[in-house]
Order: sequence, then C-alpha cells, then structure tokens
Amino acid sequence: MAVELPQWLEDLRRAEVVDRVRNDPRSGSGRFFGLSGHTAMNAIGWGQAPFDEPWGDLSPEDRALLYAYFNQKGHLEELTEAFRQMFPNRTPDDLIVIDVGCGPCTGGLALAGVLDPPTFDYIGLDSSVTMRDLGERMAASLRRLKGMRRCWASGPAAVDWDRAPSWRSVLVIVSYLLASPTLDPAQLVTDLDKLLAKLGKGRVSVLYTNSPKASANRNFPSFQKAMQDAGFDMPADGTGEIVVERWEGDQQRHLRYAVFHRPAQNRLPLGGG
Amino acid sequence: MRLPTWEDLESVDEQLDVLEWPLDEALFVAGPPGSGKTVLAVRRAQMVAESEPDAVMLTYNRMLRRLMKLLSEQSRMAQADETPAFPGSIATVQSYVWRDYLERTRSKPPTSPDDPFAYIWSEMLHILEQGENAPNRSHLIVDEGQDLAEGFFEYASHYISETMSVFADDDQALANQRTTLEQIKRAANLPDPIILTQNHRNTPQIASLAEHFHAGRLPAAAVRRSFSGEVPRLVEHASLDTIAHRVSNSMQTQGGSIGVVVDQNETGKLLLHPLREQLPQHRVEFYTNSLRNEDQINVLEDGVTVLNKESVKGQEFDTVFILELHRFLPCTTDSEKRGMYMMCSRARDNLWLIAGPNGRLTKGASDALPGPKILEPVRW
Repeated sequence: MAVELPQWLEDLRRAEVVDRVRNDPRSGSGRFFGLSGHTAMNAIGWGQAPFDEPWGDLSPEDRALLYAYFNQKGHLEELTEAFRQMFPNRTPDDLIVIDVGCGPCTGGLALAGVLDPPTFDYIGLDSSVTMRDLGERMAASLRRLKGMRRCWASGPAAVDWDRAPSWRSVLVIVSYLLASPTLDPAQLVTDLDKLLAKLGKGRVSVLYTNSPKASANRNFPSFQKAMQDAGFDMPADGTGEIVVERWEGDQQRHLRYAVFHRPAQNRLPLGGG
Repeated sequence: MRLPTWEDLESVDEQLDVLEWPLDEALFVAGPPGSGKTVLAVRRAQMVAESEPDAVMLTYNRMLRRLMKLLSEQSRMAQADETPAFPGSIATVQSYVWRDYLERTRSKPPTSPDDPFAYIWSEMLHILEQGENAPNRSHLIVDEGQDLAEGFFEYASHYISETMSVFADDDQALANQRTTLEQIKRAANLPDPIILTQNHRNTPQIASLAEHFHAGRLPAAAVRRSFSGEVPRLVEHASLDTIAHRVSNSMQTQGGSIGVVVDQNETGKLLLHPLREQLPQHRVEFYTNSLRNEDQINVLEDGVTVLNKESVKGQEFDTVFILELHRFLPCTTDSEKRGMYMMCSRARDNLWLIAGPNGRLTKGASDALPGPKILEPVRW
C-alpha cells in the first residue's frame, strides 16, 4: 500500500513549496523558475548543491525551493514509513531529535506527522542557512507544530544548547547526508558525539536512510566504523522499498536504511579498577 | 523496510539491571532521590539472604534501619512467592561496628575527642591488622553509602564481608567530609556503579525545586510522574501555632503521610503537643536520635512524623513541611546545597518551605531561592 503523508503535511508543502514554484512568473509550460526539469536538477546539484550561493539567475531561496519541490516529498515518504515502524504505539517522553542535514526540516516534519502529539525538541542541522530558513518557515506556519521546539545550527559543533545535561532520549536522523562529497564521516560522528554529551547521557537511536546506489553509500563503512567506536551497535541494516503514489500510478521507491543504537550511559566509569 | 520499534531498542526497566545482577558478586548502585535505591537494597538483601542467611544490611542512621525493616516486612507480604523477610541483621553502621570491634579486640572502638560517635578508622584498622581477623559475613548490603566514612568501607571489606552491595548517591551527602563514589569503589573493591536515571517519587514541580539545589556531576533524574502537581510553596514567616494549625489541617483534609523537618530538635518537641492536641485520631510522632524511639514509628502508615534533617535521609512522605528555612539558607556551600536537595526530594506530592518559627528570611537567604514559577510565595 502506498505511503500517505498526513493531509496537513500535503497542504503545507503545497502552500510553502509547490505553489511558490508553480505560481512564480518564471514558471509554466513544464519550466521551473524558467528552467527545464533537467536543468533545474542540475541547479540543485541533484540534492548536493551549495544552496546559499546563487546559480545563474536563481537566488539561494529559489534553489532551496527547487530542492524541496523535487526531493523533499520522497524523503518525507521514506521517513514517514520508517517512523511509523519505529513508533507504532506512543510518543516517547521528552524526546530530543537531531536532524543532521535537515534540509527544509524534512525529518522534523515527517516525525511530527507520525507522533501524536508531535511534542519534541528539534535540532535542525544544515550547512545552508537558506535551507534552515525555509525549514523554519514551513514549521512555523502551522499551529499544530507548536509542541515542536526548534533550534537551528550549521552543524553539531554550532548548536547553542543551554539546558542542563539530562537523561532524555535522543533520536538522530541522518537522511541522504552521506552522499555529500565534502562530508568526513569520522569527523561528523566526533562532532555529533560532543553534541550528544552536551545533551546528556540518555539513550540515542540513529536512523540512517539513503538512496540504495553504491556511490551514495560510499561513506557508510567509515560512518559505521566511527559509530561503533562511539559505542553504538547496529540492530538494523538493509535495503528495502516503499510504495509511493505518483500521478502516473503507484511506484516502488528503493532505499538503503540502518538503525544505530546506544543505551543510556548508566554505568559511571570511575577508573582505578 | 523492517525497523525495530523504539521500545524494542531499549527496555526502560533499569531496575532489572540491578535485580538481575549475580547475587554472589559485588554490586555498586548510584541513584538520585526517588530512584528506588532503598527498595532495591531491601529486595537485593532478601534475594541474597535466600542463599546466604548470614548476610547483613547496614544503614546510615536508625530511622533508615527502621524503614528498611518495615520495607522488608511489607515486601514479604506483597510477594506471592512467599519470599522471606530479610532474616539477617539490619543495623546501623555505628552499632554494628561497635559490637564487631568489641568482639574482636575486647575494647571499645577509639573515637575522636571532639565527637564520641566518630570512630578513628585508621587506628581501628591498624589494631585489627595485628591479629587474626577475617570477614565473617557472606554478603554486606549498605544503603546511603555516601554518608559513611571511607574508613568504614575499608573496615567492611577486610572484616565484615568481601562481597558488598552498596547503594549511594554522592549528590545527597550531608557531611562536609562526604565519601565520594570513587572512594567507596576503591575502599570497598566494587565495580563501576550502575546509575539509576529515573525519579519515580516526586512530581515534576517538586523535582524542579529540588534540582535548583542540585550540583552533582550526573544529570538530574528523569521525572516519571505526570505533570499534574502543585508548585511547592514558600511561607516567609510563620509562628509555631500557625504551623501546627496548617499541618493539622493538611492531615485532616488530605491525609496521607506527612513529614515535618526541623533544624532544631527543640522546635520539633514544641510542635508535638499542639499537633497531638489537634489530631487526636491520627498518628503524630517525633523522632530524635536521643529518644531512640524509631521502633515505635511506622513511617509507612498515614500520620505525621516530625524529625530533623539528619533523620529524614532516605525517608519519603506524601507531604513535607520543611520548617526553620532561615536556618538552612542561604546554603552557600556544596554540602548545604546537597542538604536542601535531599530534604526537598523527600516529598511525593506537596512541599512547603517555611521560615519560622522564630526567624525570617534574610535577603541573602531569599536570593538563594528560585523564582515564583518554581517556588510560589504565599502568606499564612
């Protein structure tokens, strides 16, 4: 059965992304901000562009909108299905979510569509401020997301977290991030672990999703190694598919996924033993 | 795609880690207020005693010894499997070591010239080294270990039992010279501690006030109770008569167990008469170390228990009135902060902080308190 997004999420995307692209004076007749579909995909670097820089006549905001227009829906559908499997029963208490490479709040919106009520602290990390701004605009436009307390930063090291460390559970979303050619997986895990230490000593689960293409996952082995060195095990690792509904009919969407997990650090190493 | 559920990824029953620990191995548990340390200590003692009936349970003070005895009996009644109440000794460290040392050396333990209750552990250990002395218990269970001297743990590991289960929280120690978890681990030859992370006792509002005084190295415990309590209240001045009236009123209208914590035993003594007069149908008791009346008090039953800061350690009540707040504040040292943290976290549902009788809060004392969202000022 095809994965369905909640109606409010479809409406949000229509208002904040789809209509903004389609109703732009440069769009129409199969063109997006004046570009053909293929050229528009080049403009967003097939998902891996420096979105804070203009591209030809496109502003950074145009490029972020095009990214959301072409790529976000599929990612939302994959994450929605993943979260429905992970959270079949209830909203975990006092959850903190770190969305690494969040784009326009993609992981946060998908999770908010699954949890009832959508109450959690959301830390959206993306190197592009344009992308973070689009994500905040989308999340802020809905009253139903007021229980999603948001903070944004360019990366794990830049997060301004002034609350005391706690035992709260943390969910980390790493979706379509490792395909980035500039990413250093070991450094990412090191920085992430420092941020996790700031948050506290609670349990951490990491959801990894990506395209199944080998090139998109070339960094996965070193990411996995760094995660294991940081004390995570990997209870799920595989490829799979979800069914999505498109205008031409239902389609299979293939993906690579993994789950990493580290229990709450409830042993206090005192040394000397 | 097949993903594990959030619940599958981790069981939240951290107490199972403690209960399933091998009974013949040393165990070290560190837990904040309300995490169930004392109940777990009693349960561990019962399980150990099923195979090792000479096991001994030692506590910091006599009220805690009494509580552990009551919990042991209550647990026996609650267990369908007819687990016996703890058959071994339950004693305070002070009295147990006194007898043990006397039997071994035929002399009283040496004590400090300034404090007849403070054993000189180094001297005791030195003297015992000279003779043929060995541990004589199969297992020792200790609660509130942070308030016991490091020397006690050395004594215990050499002369009471080589296998110890120690429950402690280094954020609640009352003494200036508390024993840290590192010192306990080394002296008692324990593994690294399991940390209990969840607070099952306090409402979130009470936990917030307690955390105001929390200065420990570990994160404050996650509060498991729902967000449906009253904000703790501050009374900046009250007479003895007013306090007695309010405590009585609380007993008559809400019932449950009430703890009234005083700094001066004399204040508790003065409060006892009006409370008993106004609550003739209820249990009203006053405990001090010198009265030695702990065995007449059932803190698990509804009623009012008046006791001082040292004796309230390890106890819990539905409602707690902390009197003489002006004497506990401004709590500038870590030790004083730990004391306030410990006292506030005794309350399950309602907490009152009261300056008086015979005193008011100074500006410095008021500045040490949190704002009205966490501690609501009220007038009596």
